[in-house]
Amino acid sequence: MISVKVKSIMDIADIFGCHEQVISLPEGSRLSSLLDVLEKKYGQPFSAIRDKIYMRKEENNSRKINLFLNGRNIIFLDGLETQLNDGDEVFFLSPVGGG
Amino acid sequence: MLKGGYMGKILRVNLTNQTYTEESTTEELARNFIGGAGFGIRFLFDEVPAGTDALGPNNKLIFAPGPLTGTSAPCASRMAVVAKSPLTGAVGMCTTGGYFPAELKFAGYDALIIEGKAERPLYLWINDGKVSFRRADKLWGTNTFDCQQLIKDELGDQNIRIACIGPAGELQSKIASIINERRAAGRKGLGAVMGAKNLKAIAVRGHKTVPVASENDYKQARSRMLKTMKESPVLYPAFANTGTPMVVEATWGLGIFPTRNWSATGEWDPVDKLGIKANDSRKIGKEHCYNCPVACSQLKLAREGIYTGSLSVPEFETIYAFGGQTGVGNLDSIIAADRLCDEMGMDSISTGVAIGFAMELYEKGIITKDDTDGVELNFGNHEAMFKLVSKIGYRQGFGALLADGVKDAAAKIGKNAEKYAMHVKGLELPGYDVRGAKAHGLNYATSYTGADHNRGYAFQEIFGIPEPETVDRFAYEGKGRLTKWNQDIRTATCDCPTMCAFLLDMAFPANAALNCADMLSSLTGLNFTPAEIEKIGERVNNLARAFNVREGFTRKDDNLPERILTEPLKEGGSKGQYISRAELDKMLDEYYYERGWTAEGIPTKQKLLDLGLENAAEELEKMGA
Ligand code: SF4
Repeated sequence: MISVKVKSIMDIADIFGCHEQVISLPEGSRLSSLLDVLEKKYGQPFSAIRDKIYMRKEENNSRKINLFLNGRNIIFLDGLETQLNDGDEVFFLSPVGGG
Repeated sequence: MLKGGYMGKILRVNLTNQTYTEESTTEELARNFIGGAGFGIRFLFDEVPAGTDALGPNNKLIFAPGPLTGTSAPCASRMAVVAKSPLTGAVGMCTTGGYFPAELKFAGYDALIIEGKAERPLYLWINDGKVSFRRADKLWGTNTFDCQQLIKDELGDQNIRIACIGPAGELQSKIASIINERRAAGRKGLGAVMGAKNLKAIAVRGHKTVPVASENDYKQARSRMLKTMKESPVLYPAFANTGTPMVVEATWGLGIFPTRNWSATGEWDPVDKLGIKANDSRKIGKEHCYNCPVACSQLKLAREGIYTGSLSVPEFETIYAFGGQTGVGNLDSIIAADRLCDEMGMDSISTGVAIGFAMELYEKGIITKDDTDGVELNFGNHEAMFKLVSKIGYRQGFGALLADGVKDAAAKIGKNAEKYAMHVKGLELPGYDVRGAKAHGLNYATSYTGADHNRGYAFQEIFGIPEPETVDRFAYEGKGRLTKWNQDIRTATCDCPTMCAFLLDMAFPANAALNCADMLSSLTGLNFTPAEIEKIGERVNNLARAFNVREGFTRKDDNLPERILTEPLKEGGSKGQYISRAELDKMLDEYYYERGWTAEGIPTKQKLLDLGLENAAEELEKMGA
């Protein structure tokens, strides 16, 4: 098994009930498996946001949820097909603004 | 003759002689510079020659709203405040909002230029085109909130709008700000310029209406603008209810919330103590700028300890400066420190960064209790942080050392303290650890005001917005192009017209120039195209650069603090990242290339001529740049 740290903020942290947690996954899991585990754990509220994740550069991102793996936006990796490793950190960035 | 958006007059006030004149706002000026920062920088370049003492009588202090200001346009009550900065020696330009900018238009002016130096403290009273110079001896020493109230009472009108300085500006501290209502032209020491002129305040009241060239077209353009704002996935309700503190959580997740003078970014989780819920629990109301439907300012009441009862609007940057930067996880102390900064009239970013800097020096033994007036100045010590704020404001004891910013303080302390001084060109770094957001780094290095997130905010890197293109925040390729785009679009569509920059990333990342052209053309009758708007952004940035070059700035000043260039982040979402010297050099090369500047970062004669900046071209040629 591998452990992945999952960070989130705002609405997504509300669904998770925390802004940081560790999820265990079988070796060789991809990002999509992590989302499956989260969907199983949190049900419909998580399914509703799953569609809003920005996955490919070509997509029109009208302020979707950005997903980062070890700090890099997954659109620059293999999207949801990206392989996960033990100790990885995943961050769900809800739409924010105003810096 | 300008048909709309402009009041047609620029007010020039001479404090030395206590005289004033009115000049016409020309079509040439409007067409090429729009207003706001464009006007301010043009006057600064033309009227403040190289080597002028920023705190001397020959520096000028310019207040310039834009054509949109005071009209029915949403979020447009902004103005640029411009002078040569005593903190950086470069262009000092800040924007501020609230009600003062609109009131200056209602009083009949597109800009106010202040020259000279009053013999004794005074304040300016601009009442519907009548100007008077009033004694301010009794106001001298008051904080900015009392000062505003005392002037309103003296003049007998509570609707007067006032921009003023507090004790920090009077003492000419280089981190002093100018406060209007609860808003600030906060950075670059513009409050010190005002203090050096013995000008305590400017009071304004007006009853004129801003003319509109084509009422019907403007109404339609405004409807389109409001519709786009409503469609924003962030503006309503998230930003309207939370304001900028939501960025604390975003930057934490990305591993770029600067912590402990940037020595421990990524190693501290501020979400519970300084995040949205903590902020919401102190919220007691909202404030907005004139004619703004968003009302992003969240008024907060401190509720615990010695801070109880303190009231302020701490923005993300202030939470970074007094929280992350100093390692303080006590939000009430941050609210109270923010309040003190507003009262003293001093920049909360520079103040917090200076305190965090001193804390690191203390922990490293570079300074000791003998230097800090006996205070144990460790990271996280909120009482020490809070007490130091007023000492800086009044230039008392150890506070006096920090009151001119970290660059000056490091030079006075010696012992290699500069290594820990987080600034560019003397301006303290805002709250994004640029090691994990490289366009931010390049923007801090090249912005004409020093390390200024507001002059070219790379929203693509923080919010994941793919406009004008998708951006990998860790990559350095493409950041030259992106930084130029961000700087020019922000100048053109926010700093000049003027418009609140929050709209740029939240509502108009893809069509800011189009919206701006739409609004300005119907308002002014001048028919701006989006391409012309973008070119104006480039023109103003080039003119500001030419001012800085004339002051002696070169490529070597487009730099970042040593820590950024040598220390990779140890933990968090940007672990391992830093900007090496070689990476910075490559980004600078690309940036200068995109700008059409020489490898030394000097605008070429051809570039300046293409932008219609003949006198800048001539001046740089004269000095052999
Ligand atoms: S969004 Fe906030 S800063 Fe911008 S105009 Fe409105 S109240 Fe002012």
